[in-house]
Amino acid sequence: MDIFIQLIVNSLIAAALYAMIAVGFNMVYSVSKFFDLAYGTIAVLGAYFVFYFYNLFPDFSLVVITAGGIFFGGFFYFLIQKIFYQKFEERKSSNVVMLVVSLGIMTITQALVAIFFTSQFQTIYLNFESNFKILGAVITPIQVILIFSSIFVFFLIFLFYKFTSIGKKAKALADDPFMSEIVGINTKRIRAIIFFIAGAVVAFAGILSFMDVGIEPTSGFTFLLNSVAAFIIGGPGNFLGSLVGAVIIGFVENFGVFFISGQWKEALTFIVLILFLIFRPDGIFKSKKQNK
Amino acid sequence: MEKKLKNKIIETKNLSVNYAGVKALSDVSAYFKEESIIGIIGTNGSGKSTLLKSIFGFTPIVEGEILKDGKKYDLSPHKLVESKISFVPQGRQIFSSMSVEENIEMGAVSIKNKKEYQENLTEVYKIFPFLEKNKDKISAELSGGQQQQLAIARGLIIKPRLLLLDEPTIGLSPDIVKDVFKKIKEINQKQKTTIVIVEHNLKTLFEITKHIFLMDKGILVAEGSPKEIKDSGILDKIFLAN
Repeated sequence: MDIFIQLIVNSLIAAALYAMIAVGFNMVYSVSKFFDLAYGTIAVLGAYFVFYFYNLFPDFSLVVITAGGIFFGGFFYFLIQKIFYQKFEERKSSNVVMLVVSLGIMTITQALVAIFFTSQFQTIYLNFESNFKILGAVITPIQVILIFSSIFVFFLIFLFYKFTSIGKKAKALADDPFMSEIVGINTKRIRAIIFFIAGAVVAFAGILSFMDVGIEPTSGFTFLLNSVAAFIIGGPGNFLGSLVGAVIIGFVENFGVFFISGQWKEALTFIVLILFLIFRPDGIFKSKKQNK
Repeated sequence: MEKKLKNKIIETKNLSVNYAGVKALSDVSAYFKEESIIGIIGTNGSGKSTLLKSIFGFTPIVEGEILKDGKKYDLSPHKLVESKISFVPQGRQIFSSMSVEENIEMGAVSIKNKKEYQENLTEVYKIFPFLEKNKDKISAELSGGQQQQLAIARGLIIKPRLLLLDEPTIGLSPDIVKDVFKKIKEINQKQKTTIVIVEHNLKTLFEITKHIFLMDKGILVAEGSPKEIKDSGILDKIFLAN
């Protein structure tokens, strides 16, 4: 029974992480309409920012360093969009070209991280008093922070789209880029802001994952795969869908690993993804645009 | 044929543009006079829609120039909207996942003053009362005619000096076409908005316009009042030849 509850808790922890990453991916995809392979790398950069500065200034506030890492992730992603993606969009480059560009950025960034920090797996020691126990299941303080952070981020993003002018413009841009320009929305500015926010969100997720289990230069690709899977399963363009998709992946991974084998972890994600692509290609929640 | 040189909001001078790599407009000199309703007609592929798109900066200019109030201007759409020029493209272009009111709100991104937005919204709802009744409805659920009127309403929310309408009645039933044209005339009379309409429905268009530009194969072949255009016999020549 304890094992079963532990599996549920572990699934929810994984879901919280994937949901955070997937919601950022959803934000970016909705305004750029291409699969940005460099997205997961931003999580790695955020994590290594914290790793570097926490080792350099061990007595400095971890909260401040984390905030720095979040900002760094957002700003770095903003720069990638401004320097690379925007230029290719202005040239009306196809999605395949954009995909290749993002692959290049991912590869270079990953290589630079490995050069500066080596390819070794890095962890951080956090001096938390003790773990929590819920119905016999163990959960660490950082995992609790991860779950609450994910809920908080989702809530903030909901408020952003519902009540802010930029959020509404981003929603319009996601709906119809051509019309957005026609009505006078500065689409370049909105895209840049969305990339900054999504970069900050994924960097935060990367930092929390680093604090929980550690990080290596290639972790970004795993983050990307899981977020893409959650994004497709939930339904592109639907934030609630990303959350549900993340929960499905979290549960499939953890239960699959327990009942089958650890080696099947990523394969199981993709089996679920392929099943969705065959039987429900628009995802669980079809967007209103798709319905039309 | 009448050609007034003053009060022109937009003027193209010897304009040539490319669209999808092909020369779509050649040496077009047209102008839109304040507070009037202007029609642009021609066969399919004659460059009517391209002319509107080029005014909004969507097609690269090869030769010539476009002037706003006699001066060259920044062709970026958001700058044009800020200077009170609205464009309603063809095909009932709405934000289909957003509500009716959100659609109208998106048309008002250049309005910074909330009071001004509310006043304009009240006026738009006066012209299109059904939109107020359905303000919370997802716009994809409206009928084709209602979606077209929503697109026009969204263009009107900034109280434009110039409203560019590209085929506003395409695909609509005759009754709704009449209704749309009635609204267009009402907008012109009440708000003194200059309206440029690209339209294939000549009979109804001629009833509300004072000036017509006739295009063929990217060239401006004639201009004048609807009567002058009709009497010249050029319509038969162009439309029968195509």
